Amino acid sequence: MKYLNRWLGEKPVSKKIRVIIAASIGVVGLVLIVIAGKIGVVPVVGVDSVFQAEGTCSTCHETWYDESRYAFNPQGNKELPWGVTVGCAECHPVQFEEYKLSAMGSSKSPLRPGCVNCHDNPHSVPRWFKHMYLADQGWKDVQRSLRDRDFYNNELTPRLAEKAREHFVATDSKTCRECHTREDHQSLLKGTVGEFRPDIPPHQQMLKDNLTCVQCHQNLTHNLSVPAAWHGKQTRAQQGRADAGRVKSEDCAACHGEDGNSEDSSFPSIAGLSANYTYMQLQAFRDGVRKNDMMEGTVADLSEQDMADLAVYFETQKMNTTTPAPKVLNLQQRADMEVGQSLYEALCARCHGLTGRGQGIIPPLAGQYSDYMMAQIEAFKSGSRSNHSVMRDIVKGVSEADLQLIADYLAGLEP
Amino acid sequence: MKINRRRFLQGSAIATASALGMSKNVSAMETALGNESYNYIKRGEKRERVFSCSPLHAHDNPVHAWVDDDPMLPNNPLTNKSGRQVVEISGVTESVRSRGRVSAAEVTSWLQLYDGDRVLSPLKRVGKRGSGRWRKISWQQALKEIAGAIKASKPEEIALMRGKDTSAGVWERFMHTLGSSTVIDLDGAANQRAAWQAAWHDGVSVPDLAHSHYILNFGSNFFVSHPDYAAEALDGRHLRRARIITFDPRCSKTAGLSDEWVPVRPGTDGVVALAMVRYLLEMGWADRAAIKRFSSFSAESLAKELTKYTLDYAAKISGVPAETIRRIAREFGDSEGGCILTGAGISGHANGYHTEQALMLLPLVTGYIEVRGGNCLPRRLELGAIKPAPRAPNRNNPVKHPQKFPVDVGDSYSVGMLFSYNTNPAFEAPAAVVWRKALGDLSRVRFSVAIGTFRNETSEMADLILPEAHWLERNEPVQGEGTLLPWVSLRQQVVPPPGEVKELREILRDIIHTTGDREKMRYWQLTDTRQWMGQQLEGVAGLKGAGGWELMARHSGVWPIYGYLHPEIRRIVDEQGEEVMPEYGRQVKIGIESFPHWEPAADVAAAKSELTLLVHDSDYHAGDASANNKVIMENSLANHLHVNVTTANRMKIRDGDLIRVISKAGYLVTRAHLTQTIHPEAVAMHRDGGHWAIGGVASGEAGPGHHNAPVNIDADIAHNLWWTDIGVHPMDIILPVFDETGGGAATATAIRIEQARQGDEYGMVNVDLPVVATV
Repeated sequence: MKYLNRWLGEKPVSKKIRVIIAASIGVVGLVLIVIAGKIGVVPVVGVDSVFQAEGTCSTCHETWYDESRYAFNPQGNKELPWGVTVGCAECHPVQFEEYKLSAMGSSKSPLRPGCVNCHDNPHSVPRWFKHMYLADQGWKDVQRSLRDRDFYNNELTPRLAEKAREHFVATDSKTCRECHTREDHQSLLKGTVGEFRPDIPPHQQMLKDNLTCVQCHQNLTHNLSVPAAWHGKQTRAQQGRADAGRVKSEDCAACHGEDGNSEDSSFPSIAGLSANYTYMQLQAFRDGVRKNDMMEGTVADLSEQDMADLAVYFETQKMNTTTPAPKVLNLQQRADMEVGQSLYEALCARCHGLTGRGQGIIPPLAGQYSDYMMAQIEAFKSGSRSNHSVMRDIVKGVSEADLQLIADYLAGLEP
Repeated sequence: MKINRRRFLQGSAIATASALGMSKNVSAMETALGNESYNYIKRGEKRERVFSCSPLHAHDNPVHAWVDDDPMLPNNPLTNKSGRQVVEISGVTESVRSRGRVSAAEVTSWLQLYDGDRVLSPLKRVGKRGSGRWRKISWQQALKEIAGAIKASKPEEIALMRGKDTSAGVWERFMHTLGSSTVIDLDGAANQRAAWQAAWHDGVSVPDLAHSHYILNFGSNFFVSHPDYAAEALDGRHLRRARIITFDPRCSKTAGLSDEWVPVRPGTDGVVALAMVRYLLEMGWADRAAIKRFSSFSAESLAKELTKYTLDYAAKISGVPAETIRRIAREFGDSEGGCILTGAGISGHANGYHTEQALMLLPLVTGYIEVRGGNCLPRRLELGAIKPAPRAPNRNNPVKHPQKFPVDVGDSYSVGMLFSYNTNPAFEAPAAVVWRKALGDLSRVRFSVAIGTFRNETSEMADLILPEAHWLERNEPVQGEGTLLPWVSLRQQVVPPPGEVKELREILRDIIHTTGDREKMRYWQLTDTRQWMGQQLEGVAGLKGAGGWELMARHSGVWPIYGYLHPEIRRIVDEQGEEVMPEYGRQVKIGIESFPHWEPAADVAAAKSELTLLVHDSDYHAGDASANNKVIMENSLANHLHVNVTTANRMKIRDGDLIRVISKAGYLVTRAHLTQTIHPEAVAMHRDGGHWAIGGVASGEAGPGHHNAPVNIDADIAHNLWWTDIGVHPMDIILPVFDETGGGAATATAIRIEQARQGDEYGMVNVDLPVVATV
């Protein structure tokens, strides 16, 4: 009323009219607030967004809503973001498929996250409308993706992945940490893949260098896209120089090939492995966590910088298929391939990815020599490779024959 | 669990999304190239895959049956139980037979598993044969009655009347066990089979359509009847620019999709072929060496026989301009690899046998036999034997001409016990009324048993009906047909049969065991149909060494695996990407007893006031197997009589008029459909209309107006069966006219058309049986 009087000043308006005007403004304001609440522009106490009300957007979006299944887990790290219509997979079926088969999506833990536990800034309807209809590119990209596999795989998903990573870096991987490092979660996470262990060297390094989770742990869930180049703050490994690494790789070339593509099935191809992974393995050899006489001798003289240079050099190389699978499979080959694939999907794909191409620091296996993979499995079993307890646990219950089928299946895949 | 709005929306949303997104590795927003199926309601979970092989068409087709065990699926309406259910059929891309293609009838065939009109227990006739009144009886009683009838019959009086033999030799085993060789084989076109069998000792020829440059099709609607040939012919057109020329009085689907439809007078294809052969010889374009190599003819002896078949002579008889005959003959001769296809339109005339053999001269004089793109002998992989096997009886099959059964039964041979299987002559044979009369006559067929998944018009004439498992519920090995790369496959029991339904092998075993004859029983020590199937497949040369039939059953469904389906050229290619080619050059010697001179067909209209009625198979249908299939029925047009516009104008008949179609046998009442797509001297209707015994969908006795119809257990039928016109049954008015040599019955007859008379109603069929019998 005070502001109204100030605005009207000395104008000849009676007090009664002034009250009516003030009341009208109040009513209009309230209506606007309610409308804003209804359409989800701002949260309004006591007002449910129409997008969540029965019979509107939720008619379709709710069809996907299954709290215990995927969209949002209230036991996770945070409250459901306001205004989120919980359906995701109607428009993102491929991503949902990836999620289901990922380590997080297939976890039996009560903490298993849903889409919006990680995607903490999911688009609201106005944002979606803006992106799809007002922006130049959005709808075009969707349309093109429907018919152009290469574009989808090699351009759009890496671009979107990079965008997501930027967000994670900007927020210091808040959504990861809030779940994996939260104190009241530790009893559930202890001893599982999801346990954060600050004692292991890479994590100590990370803490020391003030890095964030996503710099190593990429493509954890959506692991079918071709990994995008990393443009964020670099890890120690990523600070290496490829040209220097190429010069220093002479000693490696004898076994692993000049470009990291080994020609001997007892030595792995290391081309295309993520720099973080290679760097970590070199450290493991140096520290004796991973035992191999030849490698221990080779890494003994390497400095941290050498390791980083080598790691980056081999990351830039392209891995070739070591053992191309025949296109025409006889009955036995077909049976072996199908069994190997189903075992892989059941046991390994959650971490190594559906296509066997790895996820961030978890190494790719597609196209690797099966002899080498079997030797590593043996090393995990025997403890001579002790830098990953999860692998030891996973392989211990699987028969030799089944492991061989998995390795053969992976060896035939396109890297 | 019921489907509610939310679940329905889940399903439809996911189906759409999955169609966009789910490939093998979900690596892009596009669908994979077959061989996968997902449960969309469960958000893309992979379904259970079971290999099987569809018997619905002339050549069996390896398929995947996809099984869901989803609590959200409605219960199986026949058993009211939840559990594994077949929900989808798709093709096997490695199959040289189909390369992943499946027909409409095959795709929807799983619907029949849950059809309320299925026979679920043995039925015994209550009233007269054909009265349609049945009561359920136990298997024990049924088997006892059958065993009694067998004992009361001499071995040669035990007869099997069958269509396509899908039993992989089990029927033969059964008949031999009983000491009988009496088989009334009604499979396929009798004249065609007899003609080819006599000429080159195999009842069929396989046209190498995919590698052909010129496909001459006489009277075959192979785009409908042989989906595998359709795919091959389209490959020939796509890869080799093959021209497809169809001679047919009717513009069938195949004719319509050909490069050229040549409307020919019914029954005159033979004279066209002979004129073409004469022309090629006359012009010196015949392959003289090939004639000598492949036959007992010489170019000179052929020319001598063909003297009268000039182009003008053929033009006058066939109505095809001489210029057209000459051009096509020349194109065929020049094509460097052409083939001929013949079909029911040839065999279904009283001169069918000789016409087939006349057509055979075309590949002979051009040398297109056992060469790439030509006509070849079929290739087969033999199945192994089940041991011990009963000896074949010494006496030959007394049934010389199966299609003359109504004439010959009780005269040339007697039948004390008749088994009928996979056939329905009481509905689809020419002069079907005569078949019904013969089958219903207790003095001519003393005891009759029909075995099938559904009842049909022929089983209505039986004394007992035994419920047989659907092809997705049984174990049978399959010997591949129709391709030049031989293969074997198998039908597996994808889901168990409902109620008291049994597999054919089990039924026949139980019959033998009920006879109590130990000598016979030792051939039927069958405990597990899968084990028997395994024995037969294990005997396939090379399969055991390649890994065995069980691996095939689990991982490929077909053997040998020649290569993989190339996604661009859509052929089976080897490791290097080269198309896998058959081996050509098998030895052939065409031996034709008497020269196939053309004679007018007795079934074709002779008088000017008459027209020739042609009956043909309906598009999309697979005979009885799809007759009660709502999807196929919905896509089938009612069989209104196709009449040429000019002819109709002359007769003052308008489109949609109610008309009488009158033959010497009687008349039927239908509607006229005026079209340019039929020869002016012919009229046509398909023969899949007017069923009365198979089920509610086929007979129009289901849907919203028929609350208690058994098939209404399917809500879609109960609420959405919107059509009422199921067509008219035309086969009763076809006169029983036979080819004297081949023994095949004509599927054409001379008729008159006139406007319907007072009291005529659509669908009415009236036949004067004594007149038909006299003919």
